[in-house]
Amino acid sequence: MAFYSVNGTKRNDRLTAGWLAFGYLAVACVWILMSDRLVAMVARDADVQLALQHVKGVGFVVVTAVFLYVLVLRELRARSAGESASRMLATVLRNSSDAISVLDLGGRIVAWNHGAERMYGWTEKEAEELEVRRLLPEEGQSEIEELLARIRGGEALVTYPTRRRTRDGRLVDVWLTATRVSDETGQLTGVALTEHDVTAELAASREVVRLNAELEERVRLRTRQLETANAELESFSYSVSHDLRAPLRAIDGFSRALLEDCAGQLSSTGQNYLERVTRACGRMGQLIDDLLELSRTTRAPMSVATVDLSRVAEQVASDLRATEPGREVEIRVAKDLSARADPVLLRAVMQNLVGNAWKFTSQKSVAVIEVGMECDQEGQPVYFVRDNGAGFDMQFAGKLFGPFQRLHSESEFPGTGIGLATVARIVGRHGGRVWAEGRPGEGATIRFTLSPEAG
Amino acid sequence: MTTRTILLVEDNADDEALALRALRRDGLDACVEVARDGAEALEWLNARADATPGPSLPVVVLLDLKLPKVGGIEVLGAIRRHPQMAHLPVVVVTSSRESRDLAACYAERANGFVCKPVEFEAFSEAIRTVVRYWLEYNVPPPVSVGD
Ligand SMILES: Nc1ncnc2c1ncn2[C@@H]1O[C@H](COP(=O)(O)OP(=O)(O)OP(=O)(O)O)[C@@H](O)[C@H]1O
Ligand SMILES: [Mg+2]
Repeated sequence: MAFYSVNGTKRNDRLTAGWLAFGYLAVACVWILMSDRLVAMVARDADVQLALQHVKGVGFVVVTAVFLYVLVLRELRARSAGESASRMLATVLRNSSDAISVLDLGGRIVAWNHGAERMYGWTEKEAEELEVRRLLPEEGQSEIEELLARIRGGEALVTYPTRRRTRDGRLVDVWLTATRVSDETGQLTGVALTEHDVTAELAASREVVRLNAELEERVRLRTRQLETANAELESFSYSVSHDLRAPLRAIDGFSRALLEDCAGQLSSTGQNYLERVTRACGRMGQLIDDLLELSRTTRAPMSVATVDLSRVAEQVASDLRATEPGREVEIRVAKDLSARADPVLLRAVMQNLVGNAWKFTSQKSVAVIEVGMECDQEGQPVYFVRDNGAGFDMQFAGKLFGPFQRLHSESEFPGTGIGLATVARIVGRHGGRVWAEGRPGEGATIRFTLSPEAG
Repeated sequence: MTTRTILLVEDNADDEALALRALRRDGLDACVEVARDGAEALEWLNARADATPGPSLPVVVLLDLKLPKVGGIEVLGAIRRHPQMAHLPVVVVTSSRESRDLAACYAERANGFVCKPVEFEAFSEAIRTVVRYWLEYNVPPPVSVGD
């Protein structure tokens, strides 16, 4: 099996050689005819003439010999150069990492390089006996016939992506390039196939597609988060204005009904208590309105600045200590924490998070609260507030951030359940997110970011 | 004298009791019918609107917005789409002051929007005023207008 065949046109060569021979014939004939006359003209003496004739004859033979020498030498050199070039080419092709093979017009394998050997697993020797269909995947059994038909139909180059089956049954993605193979006379004798393994390229492009899809998914996720945040905000205001007013109205209404309908049965102390109840209702109605007002202010425009988060946390901590001087709580605030955020809103975040940590550690004899920062994989800051307090069941971690959602009873830990909802809203407004980790009885960690994650 | 009715659509039993108390106080010449969710309200209304010459429609519907099953705004929409009830007076009485609720109610041609005050005195005053207006002062459209 050879990998190099000379199939240039021979007609041009013949023409050149013919002209050369004809030229030589003409020049030689003219010389033979004319030179004798010249000799006769130059010398009259018969001896001198004879000597000149010899010189002329020998000279002609010498010139011819020199020509012959030069021509033969050139031809021999060209041939050996050609041979070494073809040897080189053959080596290159044989050792190419692409699988290169030649099929005859019947689809029989007549050449098989090392690349093919490595890619498909059959040796050069085995390939001679190899049925070409063994190389084709089940779904493409007619591929080679179609290819041969195209080549026969006159196409000089056919190229397309396809698949090959290896000896051990693996499927390989290849890029196929098929070219015509013809003999000296230009007659089509077969087809040369170069198959480049593109499994890695395909995997890479699939990866690109996957990454793009992932990116889109992230954008969708973020949009959804924003939408949820907005929806939550709405439902928050709605709940406050609707759900909280209704029970208050009932308390107030029935207290009055009691005062009116059962005044006779009530002592003056009892009546006084009921007056207090209705007054408290009025106050609470006011509180609700204030709360709504607060929710409106968190919708107000933000002004982002660099905030010294360590200082904010320390201040919040000392405020908490002032409210309950009797408690012993170790509060560790990492040094030099800074953040790009709205200072007022960030303070509210810390008040809620450190406040929660303070509250939910109230039953611990040794309470520890930690405020710090870590970096995520993208190097973005993730702030955290950790405590060793009551903790919570991770099963409900998602509920924490909904308005009025609480995981502890009012009697155990007082509160309304608005703190973390506020935090989530503020963090969301900064483009960040907040999440919680906890274990019942062991404490909780609330983490948040203040800017969108990279990517 | 035919007894006229008022339909109160209210899912909260406390609010219902308080509204009834407020209305009873006034000695109004009307009986109050109560529906506890939107579906019940529509069923009741549709039965009256479709029956000819059956019992007449209420003088006014006091409609809460946050209702189980079928919400208040949906109820209002369904009322307005019914040829016999296109002009039925409906006053939305709710705890919510949300601007989107306001917009939605007026888009569905509510006849009024009252925000329930927390204090009982104010609340009962509001309910009584609304009902008295529709019962005593408002002149309903001629019968043919309904179609
Ligand atoms: N540090 C924490 N440890 C354990 N549980 C927590 C912690 N922080 C929050 N939680 C749980 O999440 C719930 C919601 O917290 P959030 O701050 O929103 O409400 P709250 O503290 O109960 O009330 P508010 O903050 O409105 O006064 C809490 O009731 C509690 O069950
Ligand atoms: Mg809290």
